[in-house]
Amino acid sequence: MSNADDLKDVVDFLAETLPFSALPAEDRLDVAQRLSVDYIPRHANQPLALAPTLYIIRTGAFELRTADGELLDRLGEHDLFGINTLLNGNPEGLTVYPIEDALVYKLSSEAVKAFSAQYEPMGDFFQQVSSQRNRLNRLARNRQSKPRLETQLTQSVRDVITADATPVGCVPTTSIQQAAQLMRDERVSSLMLLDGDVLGGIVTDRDIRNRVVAEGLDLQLPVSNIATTDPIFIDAGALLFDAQKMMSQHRVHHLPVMEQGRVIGMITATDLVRAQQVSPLFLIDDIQRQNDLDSLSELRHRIPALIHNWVQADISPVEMGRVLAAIGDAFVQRCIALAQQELGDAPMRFAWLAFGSQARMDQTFASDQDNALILEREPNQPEADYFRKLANWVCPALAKCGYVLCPGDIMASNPQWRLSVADWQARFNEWVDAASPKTLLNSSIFFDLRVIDGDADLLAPVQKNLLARTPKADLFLALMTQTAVRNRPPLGFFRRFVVESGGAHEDALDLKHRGVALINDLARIHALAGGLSAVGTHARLQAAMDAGLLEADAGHSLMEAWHLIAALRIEEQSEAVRRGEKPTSFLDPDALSPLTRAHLKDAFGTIQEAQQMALNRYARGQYG
Amino acid sequence: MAKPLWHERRFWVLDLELTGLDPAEDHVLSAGWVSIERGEIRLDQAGHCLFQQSAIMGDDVMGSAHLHHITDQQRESGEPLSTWLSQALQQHADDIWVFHHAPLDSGFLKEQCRRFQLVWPKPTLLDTLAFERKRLPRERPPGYRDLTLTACRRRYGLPIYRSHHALSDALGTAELLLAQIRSRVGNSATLKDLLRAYR
Repeated sequence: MSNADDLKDVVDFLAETLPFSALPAEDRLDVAQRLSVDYIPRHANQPLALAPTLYIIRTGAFELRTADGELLDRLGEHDLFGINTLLNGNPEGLTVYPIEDALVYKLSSEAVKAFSAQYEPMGDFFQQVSSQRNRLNRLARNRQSKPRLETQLTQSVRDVITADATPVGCVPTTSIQQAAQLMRDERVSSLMLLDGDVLGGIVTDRDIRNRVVAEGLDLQLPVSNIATTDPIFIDAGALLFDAQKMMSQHRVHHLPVMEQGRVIGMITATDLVRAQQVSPLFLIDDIQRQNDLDSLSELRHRIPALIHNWVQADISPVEMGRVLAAIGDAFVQRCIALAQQELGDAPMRFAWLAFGSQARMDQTFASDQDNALILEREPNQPEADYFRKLANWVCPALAKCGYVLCPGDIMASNPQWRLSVADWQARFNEWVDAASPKTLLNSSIFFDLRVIDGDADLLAPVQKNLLARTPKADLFLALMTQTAVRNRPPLGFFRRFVVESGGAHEDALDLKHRGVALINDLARIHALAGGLSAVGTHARLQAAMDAGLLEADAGHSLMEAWHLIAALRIEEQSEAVRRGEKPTSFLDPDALSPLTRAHLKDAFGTIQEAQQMALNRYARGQYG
Repeated sequence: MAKPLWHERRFWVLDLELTGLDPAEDHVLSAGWVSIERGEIRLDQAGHCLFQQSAIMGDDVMGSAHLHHITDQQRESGEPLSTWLSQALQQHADDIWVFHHAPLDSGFLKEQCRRFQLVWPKPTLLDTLAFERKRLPRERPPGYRDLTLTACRRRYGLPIYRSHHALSDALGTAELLLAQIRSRVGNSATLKDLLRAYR
């Protein structure tokens, strides 16, 4: 009923997908005609129920995980899964999670078996993929049984590889088949070609797939024909950090390790992932143990690698924010302790406050420090001097630890922000009762606040007084809402994209000021209107839903939107840091996949609707 | 007794390439179709058919035939529409028929049934376009409510296929239907739920 032209969209895709690309065209059509097509919506927390079928990913992404949920591999367009289930019933219990909406082609197990019998290389290919995944699984299991050391990217390559056996290698004249057999027997994904101690090249699983199977090459040819003969290598004394940089720079997954001109082993991308699995608890613990500012500030260099790992492991930005806040808090607490070692104990009770992102616990890279002091009572001159010295010690110290000085000077080092409990209360009353568009623009940051160190009781009366006052402050809420919605989500960007006018609009998306900040603003308004004590944006939205201020649908959509934009932002920042650039909140729109673009558009649409709802509720629909 | 689930029914997803929008005046150039069984699109049941065109066809038809990748020779060697239609009606009378913009294509099919004196089987129709139109908030600016098959597919992250080929469009519509059901209606929906969602 259909010919190759009719099914062109499917056949063309198969022609670019291993192992079908190696088939003659008429057989590709045969494969196409036996496929069924399925759509699998994203469900990152629930594994697929795998049928004994070969799955070919047409679009979307999946994660391959061990039975315990540890990430083994990430699969995308043109990749296959379901092979282990199909070949041997998946005794290892590997699981597959759809992490993006996906379109998959399915080929029945009968068809796979028939084609594998007809084309030997195709059968071999499936075996290979299956054994590679089993191997990853074994590695993951071994990894779990070992204690997790605090290995960082600052470990040397030598430390990681000496634990393994001697390098697996063969002479360059070995046949391709023998080499593959050696790799199978030794369960390695790469092989070194050695002339004595001299490295003649390396061969990887990928070479065998791309240069042998895909090309239908004679298996009796010497393996040197398909080897990379001048491989990039790394010195045993180099840091894992360098190895990682080298791998991503040259897009390779294997690096031979040399010591004094001699090959001593191989380091793989998997080794690096393994070495980096480190808990942020170690970092916090280390922060607490430093006894001088210089060594304390050095610890800031460990944060980017942590964030990178979290991004890779798809940790939610809410979770990341919480951990980064814990790290930030530890830096503050340690700085205060170090300062007090010099200055002595405080003359009265006090609390160190954080505003803005640290208070909300959604810090990312390069967050500013926004802080203040709250004092038990009005200080006399010597007491005031003590807190001036304390703040002047801690704020620059935090800057040294990577927390940029606040450009608006909202810092404890500014005498304006070292106030007694009574003065803070008066200040907040003034902001609420005598609100004007101008004062609100600068004061909204103060309504997100949290005690980081010192006596948390001091803030309680201030907060209680504030939250009793704001629900009744209609004018304040109206002005706050109008101020908040002055920044609109950048939906115009998408309109332009939809038309694709070809104009050279180089506008970058500002994910902070026209994304997450808009949601933070809305959450703050709902919290203040409801007298809710939550500070984090998620917690505030949840509390607002519980209090009936926000419909559940709208609240959840906002949470999802926040989640999406925050995740994109931190992912971008993490990449920028790895490229050695300064992290910003701007996103190059060209780098977006169509799927992300669609999600982002939905997210901005959600924000716009939520802004309108807030205007209707608190500002009676007036525009700001 | 348990209520029947949506995927227990077979769906016939059809697309027609037409020379215009008027069933009385314009011609059907080709048809492409796929079936959905047990919730999966079956490419072994995919088909494509070019129809013979009468010699009285004017230049306008030639022009749009060109747009639809159809050559003169293909038009002459095509199958008679009546043969294809009577077979299709027989095979798919009990299926649920799916279109992207059902009123247009089903209008042409009805008109052709009338001309060839075939009984219109009154199938249940689902419309992926109407579903999207209903789903998207009305106040969105026009650019966001683009309801072409390509635009709807993009919203679900579906790949871009060539346009104006009946089978590509039928496959595209079938994938869109699965995407809509799986992400918006629910995979465990009963048939009744499904029909309600598309009403």
